[in-house]
Formats: sequence, structure tokens, C-alpha cells
Amino acid sequence: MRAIVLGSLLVIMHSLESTLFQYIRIGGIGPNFMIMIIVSFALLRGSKEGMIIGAFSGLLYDISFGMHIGPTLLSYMFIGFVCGKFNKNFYRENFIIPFICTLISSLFYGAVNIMAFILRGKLSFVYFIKSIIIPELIYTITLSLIIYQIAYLINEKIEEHEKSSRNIF
Amino acid sequence: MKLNKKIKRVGIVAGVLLIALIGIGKAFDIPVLSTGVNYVLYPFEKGITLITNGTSQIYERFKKVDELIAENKALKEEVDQLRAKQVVAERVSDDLKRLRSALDMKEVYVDYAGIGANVIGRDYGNWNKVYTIDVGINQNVQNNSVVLADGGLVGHVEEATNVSSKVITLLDSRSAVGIEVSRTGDVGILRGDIELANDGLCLLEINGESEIVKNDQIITSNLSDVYPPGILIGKVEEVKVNSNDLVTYAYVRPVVDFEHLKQVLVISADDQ
Repeated sequence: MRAIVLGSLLVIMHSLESTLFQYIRIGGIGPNFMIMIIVSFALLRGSKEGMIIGAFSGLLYDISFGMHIGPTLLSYMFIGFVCGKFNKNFYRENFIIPFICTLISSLFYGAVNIMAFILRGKLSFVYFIKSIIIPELIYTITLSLIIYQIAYLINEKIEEHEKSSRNIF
Repeated sequence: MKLNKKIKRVGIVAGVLLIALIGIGKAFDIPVLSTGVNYVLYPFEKGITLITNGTSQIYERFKKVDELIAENKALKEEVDQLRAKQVVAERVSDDLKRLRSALDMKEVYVDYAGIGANVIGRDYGNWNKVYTIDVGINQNVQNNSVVLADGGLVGHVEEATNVSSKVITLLDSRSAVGIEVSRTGDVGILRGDIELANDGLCLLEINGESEIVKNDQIITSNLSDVYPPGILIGKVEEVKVNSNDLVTYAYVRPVVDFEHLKQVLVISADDQ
């Protein structure tokens, strides 16, 4: 049940982001919904699920738009793993920790992307930070407040349903 | 404890199967994973694109009636002028054919037969410019097929699967095209550049001795494996002054409007 709901959520989100959400770009910069979803579910459910969701969404991105399978998969998986570690230490109704986790995750993903550009000999850090990372960060953390509420509701519904029937996920 | 063991077993089996699948795919040169995932994504992306295109058209139909009437009038006048010109052009082209056959010259320009396609997905990261189009191996599109739009070059197909393909555009920082300045015949390299991509520009690297100026026309050269020669790319927007005489850099604006790209034309490798 959980696997089906989350799998279809990720597939629908991926399709929406690559089609409809192109219209909400501001100055060519769009938010990263995948990081918001990974962070929300990792915080709500723990490292193991965070890693699985991260790996799945990273795989979708790498297959659709990447050159190789791996870079996005591994960085999303790492984000899911680290954020999942905070699962036991915070109240679910608190919205400060998801906010901070999304901020740090978004910075980390930006750093990974900069790394790829450094390896290709592109060293304009000022441009990267000023024109891509900071606007994307602001857009992503603002929307993460909404996405976390939605993830929380979805998770509540799934857990209610799971009380009657026990599964591995 | 029991639960953890089960998860471990499922994980190991899934991992081994995945690696085996990718290995088999690599051996026979079939993109197994991408094909599978694209079969799932295709209906979603195609559906959403269809709906957005349909609804935006309905909205614009009511908005633009006056504009369209004026445009129609202007176009009709233009058609009349063009008809007159066409008669002259036909006569010239007949003369050209006759003279060419007399001189035993080959046809320089070839009409490429292509397949029309829709852009159904765009990269949602902020770092790369990669598009997904709704044709694939089933429609005879292969890796390295060339993609055109509005008479200009868009890019090439990086990976074709059964139903859809991944296109790398000129603006992407990983693309490089061998080009020729049609006025002087100098050859150079056109690269995507991340700092210029959001403005829709590309970076041109050319020999320092070439006298490139603003508004020079850029076409593909005949030195490329992927791109056929003579395809229009765009115009030089700005020439950068460089302190050394070895390399000149220039900004090139492609004729294709990448922001509003909807329909493209794919030329498969056989036609070249």
C-alpha cells in the first residue's frame, strides 16, 4: 500500500515537474520538489524509507535527463539517509526542522552539481552561487513549508490504513 | 528482527536483478531501464502536455481574434508578393539546374525527410537543458539523430528508447557543435555555456585571426560526425574583445526559441 502510494506520488510529481511546473519558473530558476518530498518523508519515517525514496526519485531523474545513472541517485539517497536520522528526535508537528533540513539538503545538492562543473573546468563560483543556488534555495525552502504539510497528511492516512493490515513497508 | 531479514533479502535480490538487467542491456546495447521507465512516464507526460497545449489554445483563441484578423490581412498581402517572387525564383532554379547539369555539379542542398515530434518534458533542474520528445526507436529515431525546429538546429538525440527520446540542446553545457561562419568560411566550435543558457545564448570559440563581426550567420560545418553540413544555427550577437590573438570568443543567438519550443523535426541517421 505504502509502496504503491509513494511510488505513484513520485512518478506523478516527476511528470508534473517536467511539464506543468515549467511555467512556475522565475527568471529561469525553478524549485526542487523532489528534495522537499525526500526530506519530508525521511523525517516522518526514518532513514530506511528516506533512502528508498531518495534512490527512486534520483533514478527517475538520472534516467530521464542525466548522462549517467548515479550522481543524482546517490546524492538524493544520502539526503534521505541523513535526514532520516532526525526521525526520532523531533515532534512531527514542528515545522522548523523540515525547513532547516530542506535548506541544508538543497545546499548539498547544489554543491554536488558545482562539483560536476568543476570537473569540466568551469570555475565561476560567484555566478553559480548568486544566480542559481541562492534563488533555488529560497524558492525551495518557501514551498517546503506547504509540501511538508501535504506529506504529513498523506503519511497520516497511510498509517491509519496500516493499523489494520501489517506489511513490510 | 524477522522483518529486517525479509527486507534485506528483498533488497539483495532486487539489487542483483537490477545489475543483471543493466549488464544484459549494455551487452546488447539496449537501454533496458530507460525503456521501462519511459513506458511508465510517457502517458503521464504526454497527457499533461496535451492538456496544457489544448487549454492554452482555447484561452488564446478568444484573446487574439483582433490580432489574428490584422495578421491575416498582412499575410495575404505578403502571399501576393511572394507569388510574384516565386515565379522568378522558379525560373532561376530551372536555369541553375540546367547549368549545373551542364557543368556536371552535384546538388549541394539536400531536402531531409524528417519526423515531426512534440516536446513532452524538460529538465526540471537548473543546471542542464535536456528535453524529452515523444518519438523513439518505434518511429525510426536512433541515437545521434539530429533535431531541428523553425529551420534551425536544436540539438541531437542522446538516447533513444522505444517510445521517447532524450534530446541534448545547443544550450546545454555538455553539447559542442562544429560550425562554420557562412560569410568567411572559418570553422569553430559552438559550446553551450551555463552562464548564457538562461539568456538563450551560446559561446563560440573561433580562430583569433578570423574577422568575425556582429550579425554573421552561423551554420554547421562539414567536419562533424553527428550533424550534417549546412544547417542554420543562428547569428553572432556580440564579439568579445580578447587580449591574446589565439582565440576569439563570440556570443551566438540561435534562431530557435528554446523557451517556447513545442514542435520539433527529427532527422534520423539513415536520411543523411
